[in-house]
Amino acid sequence: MKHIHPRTSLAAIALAFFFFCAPVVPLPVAFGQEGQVTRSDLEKILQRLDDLAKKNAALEKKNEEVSKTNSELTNRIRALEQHANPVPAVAGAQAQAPASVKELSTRVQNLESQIQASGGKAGGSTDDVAQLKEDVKELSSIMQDVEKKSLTDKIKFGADLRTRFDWFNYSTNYNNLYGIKLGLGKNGEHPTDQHVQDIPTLRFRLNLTTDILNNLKLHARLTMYKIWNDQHTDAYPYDNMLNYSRTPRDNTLRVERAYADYYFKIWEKFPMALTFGRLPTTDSFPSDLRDDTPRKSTYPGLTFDAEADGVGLTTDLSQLTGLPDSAVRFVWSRLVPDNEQGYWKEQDHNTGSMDFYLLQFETGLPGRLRDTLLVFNTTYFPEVPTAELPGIPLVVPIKNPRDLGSLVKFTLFIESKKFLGSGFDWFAGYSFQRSDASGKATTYGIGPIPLLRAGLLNENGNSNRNAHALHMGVRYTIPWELLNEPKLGFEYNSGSKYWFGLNAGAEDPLHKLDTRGDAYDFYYLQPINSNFFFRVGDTILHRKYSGLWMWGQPPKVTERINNFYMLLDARF
Amino acid sequence: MKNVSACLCMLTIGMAVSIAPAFAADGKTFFINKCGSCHKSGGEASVFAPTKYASTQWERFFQANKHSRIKDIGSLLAPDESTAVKDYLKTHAADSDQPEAIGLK
Repeated sequence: MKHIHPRTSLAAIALAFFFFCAPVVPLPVAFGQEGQVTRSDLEKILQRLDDLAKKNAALEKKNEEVSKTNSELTNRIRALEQHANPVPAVAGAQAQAPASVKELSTRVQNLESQIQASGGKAGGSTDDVAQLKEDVKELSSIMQDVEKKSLTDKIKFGADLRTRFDWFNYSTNYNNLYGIKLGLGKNGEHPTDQHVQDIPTLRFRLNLTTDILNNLKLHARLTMYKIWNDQHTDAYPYDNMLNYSRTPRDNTLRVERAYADYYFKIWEKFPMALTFGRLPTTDSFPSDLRDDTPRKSTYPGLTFDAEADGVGLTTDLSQLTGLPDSAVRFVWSRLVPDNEQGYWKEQDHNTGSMDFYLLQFETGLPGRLRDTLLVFNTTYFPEVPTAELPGIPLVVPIKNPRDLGSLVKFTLFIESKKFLGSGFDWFAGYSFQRSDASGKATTYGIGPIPLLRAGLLNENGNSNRNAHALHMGVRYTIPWELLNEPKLGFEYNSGSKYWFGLNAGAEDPLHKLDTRGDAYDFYYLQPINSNFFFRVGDTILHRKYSGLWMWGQPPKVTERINNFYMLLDARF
Repeated sequence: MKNVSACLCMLTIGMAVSIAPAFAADGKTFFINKCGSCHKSGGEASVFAPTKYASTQWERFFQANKHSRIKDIGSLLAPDESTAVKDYLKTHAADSDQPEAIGLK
């Protein structure tokens, strides 16, 4: 709409005045002559000018209203046209201009006839819209149910199933147990060769996670591990300490893990987490490579791979160090032995509790080494108590000093995945261990008859021991997409005479990281898909010293154990 | 000790060999460098983790090229890079096997 400018308006008034008033008001010829403009004439002229100005303003207002109405009608017609014909018209300059009333009427008539001709269906869109509305209504109802279920489903389930077949070949020159020579030769020699064929085992694990709150999470893992169709066999009876659910037993689901993480901040830059329960301490590094999983444990295998209840405090140091996944963890665990007489008192010959403390610093590395984790761990046993000797039930402690000494272990471990962008994953770890004897040793015997003495890695109770272990390996992902990129792995570890591994819960049945000697491990891992793989491997142990855990003087042996296995693993 | 030396040698050779044949497409690298160029704190787009969607949802996201509805990133990610990123996101999706450790968030 065009608005009339005030100056234009005044000019029009002046012009109108000139034409309208000219015949009425004679033009002055000269002042003071006949026909001169009088005062009353001037008043009349002014009055007339006022009237004209008012009339002009009224006309302008009416013109504005007409233009506005015209424009509104045009818009409504366009909307109707758009509704009747969804294909957008090419907008030309004329189409944008306000149409005349006559033109608008014609267009309305055309539209009415179009709608009539289509039986009231404007381009078929009315039905579509109605259908869409119905769909949206139905989907909203479904979505509400799904959302409600999702919000009320607190627990996320996962599971993995593994069937494994093992073949063992075992040969030794000695036959002794805890230093008691059972062989018939002069020094207990008793050459033995044994072959165990095809032991099939089944492992089923149910994994549960729940996000109770944003800063409180609960995790659990229930495990069944058994030999096929056998309900009773304890396959590895000697290694059951701190290893209950990870030993083939029966078809009972046992709690391997059950722990809560509570995340909080005392200082903004140091997020912390308090963890308590049955902790994630099995499936240690680098079993994530062998099992082709993400990290599943807190510690390297050289440090600890066994079931443990305890309390841990984690401090995230990433903001302080600027390194990814940088954290320090302090964990306290306690092993409480069986107590047959009651919760508040112990049997005389019973063993004492064993506390252990773990302090671990770990960090990822930046740049191209970002899939690398560096771990430094210190594990400390302040008082190592006497142990019952598994495997020989009649032999019990006669003289039980409870505190045999202390033991500390330092471990440095590094694991790098996709090293420098290649298909190689590798790891290396070294552990140094030191035991300080208390000067006491336990005497074991049958009844009052003493059979042997065992201190902390000694038989006299006085000798301090140093030990070390090495673990290294590599895994290569073969870039054969046709075969889903299979993996080849090799691992080697060695332990010295007084090495005390804590691998009772390890995935491999030989618990190779406990070996006082050398161990070699080869495997081929064939992914079938992202949830299912097949692995075949061979583990060879050369034991130079036998003995279990940290009790007694390790007896010299020459043992060779070969374990060939195949396994199928499916998980979701 | 001989065994240890032999193993160390094998590991060293393996490491040396491993540096040479670098894998062509590393999804994580592309995810961090390319996706992260916009999806960062204070960036053009919000930060997100692979756990934002489940594996099937990521597959659908890439198949329908849903990112193009917001921004066309065809010039930023080559087809093989896009596939690598998709594989990475699917591998670490909400329904994937998650890492576990004491106090690990």
